[in-house]
Amino acid sequence: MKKIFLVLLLLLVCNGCVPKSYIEQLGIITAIGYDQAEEDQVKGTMVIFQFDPTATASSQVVSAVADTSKGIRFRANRQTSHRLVSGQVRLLLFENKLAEKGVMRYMDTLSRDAKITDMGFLSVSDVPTEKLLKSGISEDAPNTGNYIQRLIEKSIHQEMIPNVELTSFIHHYYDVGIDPVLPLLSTQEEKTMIKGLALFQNDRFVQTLSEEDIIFLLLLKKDLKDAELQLQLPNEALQNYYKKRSINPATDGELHVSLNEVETDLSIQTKKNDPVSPSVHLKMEARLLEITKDIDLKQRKAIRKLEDEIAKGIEERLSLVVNQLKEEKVDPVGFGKEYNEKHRTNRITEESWRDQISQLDVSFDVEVKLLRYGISE
Amino acid sequence: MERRIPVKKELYMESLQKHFRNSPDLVNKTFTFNRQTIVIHFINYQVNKDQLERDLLPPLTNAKKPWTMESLKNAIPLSSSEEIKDFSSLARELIHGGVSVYIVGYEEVVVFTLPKQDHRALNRAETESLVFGPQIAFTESLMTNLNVVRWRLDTDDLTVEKFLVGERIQSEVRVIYLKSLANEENVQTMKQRIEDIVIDEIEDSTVLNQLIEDSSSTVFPQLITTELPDRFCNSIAKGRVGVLVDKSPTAIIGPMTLFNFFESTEDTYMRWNIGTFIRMLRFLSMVISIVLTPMYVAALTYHYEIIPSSLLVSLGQSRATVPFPPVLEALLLEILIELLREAGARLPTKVGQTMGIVGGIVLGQAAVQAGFTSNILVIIIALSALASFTAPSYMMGSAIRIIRFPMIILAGAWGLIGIVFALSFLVIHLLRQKSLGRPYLAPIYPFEASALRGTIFRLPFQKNAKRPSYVMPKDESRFDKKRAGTKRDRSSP
Repeated sequence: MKKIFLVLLLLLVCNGCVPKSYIEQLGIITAIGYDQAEEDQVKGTMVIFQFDPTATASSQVVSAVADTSKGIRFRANRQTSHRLVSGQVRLLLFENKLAEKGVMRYMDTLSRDAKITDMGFLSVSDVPTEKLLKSGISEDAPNTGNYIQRLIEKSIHQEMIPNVELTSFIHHYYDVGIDPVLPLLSTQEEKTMIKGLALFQNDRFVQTLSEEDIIFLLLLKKDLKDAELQLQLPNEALQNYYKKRSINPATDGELHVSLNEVETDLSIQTKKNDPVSPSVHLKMEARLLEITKDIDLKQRKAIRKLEDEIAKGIEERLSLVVNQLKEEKVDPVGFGKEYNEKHRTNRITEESWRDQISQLDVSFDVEVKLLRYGISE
Repeated sequence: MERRIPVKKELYMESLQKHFRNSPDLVNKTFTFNRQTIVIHFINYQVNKDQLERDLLPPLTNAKKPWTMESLKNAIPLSSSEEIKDFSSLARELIHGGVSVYIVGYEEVVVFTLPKQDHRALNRAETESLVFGPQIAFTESLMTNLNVVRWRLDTDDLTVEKFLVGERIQSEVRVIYLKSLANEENVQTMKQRIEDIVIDEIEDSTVLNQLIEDSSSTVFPQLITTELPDRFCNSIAKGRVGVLVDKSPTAIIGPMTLFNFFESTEDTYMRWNIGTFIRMLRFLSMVISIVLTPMYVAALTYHYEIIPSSLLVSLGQSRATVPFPPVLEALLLEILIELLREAGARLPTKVGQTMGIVGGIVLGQAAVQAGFTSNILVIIIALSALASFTAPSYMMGSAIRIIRFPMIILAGAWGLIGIVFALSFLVIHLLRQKSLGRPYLAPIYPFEASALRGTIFRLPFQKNAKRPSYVMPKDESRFDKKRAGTKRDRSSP
């Protein structure tokens, strides 16, 4: 009995020591944007939820300039009656100017702060993030930060961009032989969109991969389950298989194919003592969704030919992407990491790999199988 | 100390009048014929008058020769005749509906029992209502109840033992079990506990239940009280021990485990898959009922991080105008629900129905509109209240509603840590409980996989050929599993 009373007493007395955070008294930050300010300072823009049952807008945006990222929150606290907390941060944006200098000084506090989820998304923006977060267009999301978060989440889910969670960025940053990537956001008539992929050298943003090339980088990065792919093939590649009595003459115009339900099986082989000449073997199964010329799909040979052409087209695009990576000395694919995982001799290091990237000589071998293509009469 | 019956007529009549303190209800009649004086006594309303005037008085008064004790006992066509020498037992027989026949000059009295008892007929179950399956419920009459039990358990193996409990006002208690099945130790424990009761009177079987339970400090019931004869008899057929108390419509069964309180006889009557689903639903609703409101309080007071971001806006907006901290808000609404339930139970049925409207629509709606509570909490509280009402045992449902309050307070004081603390405490507490000395949390602890199929799940009967072993029946096998699984018409190729 004495023990129970002691426990109850402890409960009562210690109750006051637990810091309370009543949800209605909090300014819950959902997205933070970092912009370059003058004199090496950063300007932080925060989207916070504002719980006012009468107001139509359920969030507001506050900005502050400070030397550190936590300082921003401290300064911004003066602009709102709510206590700013970062436990619900799901999106972190960096302006391109800031990202070019390196983002690790901000990542450090983000990854160490236990209140901030490691599953939050990171992005680079080529317009000031303040402008991005203050733009009013957010579709049905409660605010722009939320809209961008949903946009990125959907894009990852649909295999349009690689995983850009904070944890994978940190992971790729510290791993030897692989560089992180982040989506590059921009605005189009006030509305935020994904413009491309920001390629990083360590933690510095160096180059943009155009939106059309993202899928080809993805093909090299992981096994895809259900992706979509657009490809342009040589105009006359399939001229032997045009339909005899075609409704629309198929001779002019370009040959485009559109694939979906793309499922790939990627394997990267590396040779011993030779980290710079990996060979990529890619098996792909897909469904032919659209083709701009009137091909007679009933012919088995036509399909074989089409598969070969698609494989060839993909190989070309892959080598173009790798060439671009070589020029910028970045390795988001992780060729170096792949080598280090397989071999114990002549291992690459953080310093050596950066120079070796430009010597990369990747050979591609793509197999394409069209599972379903449909027949039209 | 025995007091002999007076031989003199005047003395006999006087002492009876004195014993009943000149009660106007004590009727005496003196007949004189065949040169013999006979005095009969009975209590007016305790005796079946029709029977008295049809079966006792005519043969008594039409006799050709004088009565003797022997002829009185044998010649009167009534089965219940008893020769009594002791005065106090005579008085007791009169209270129980006896008619005493006193022949002047004898030292003994013959008592014929012609009791009249008004009690309600067997009726539909009210507190443990069923959608289908047997519908009758026990009544207040022990004899009727025993009759029903005998009728349902049609075997001479059924053993009924009689006890009297109460020092001032005695109640008849019957311990019922199957001799060849019930564990000797269980029966002994039950019998011993009933014998050991020291009390002036027991009001009802539920009182007896509280007196013989293993622990009286816990909120959890350890023996099931039921008004359903089918539930009572099914349990006895599984090797449990049952208790019936006179003047009480509820029967007691033991030993029980926590999970038995979430079983309804309806699970047995349903197809096994539907029965299992419904049983699972009840376990789920118990968890919801205990955890949901404390989780709300904890999340809104301490852990805004765990709230899904899509829920954050609506939660925050509904909380924005509420002037109380979440813990107070939740306690207020929980008490409101308890008030509604209590008011609904106390009011007459016709008025009771309006309680739902007053409580549900007027109070709930107005409280939210006035910014008194958040509407999400109203949903949560209503859900957890609803969930607590799914427990087939009313006692268990009440226990679950009670333990929610400390959970909410702990969640308000310590957040999730408080909830985990409370849940751990709850598990430890349940582990320590016993029912007739048997573990309360079986078959989870001590774990027994084969018993799960009858307790937590409700597998097809052919698959479940064992009686629950935690009851420790003398014979665990219900039937031959192999023979039960085959149907002859289908086995031929």
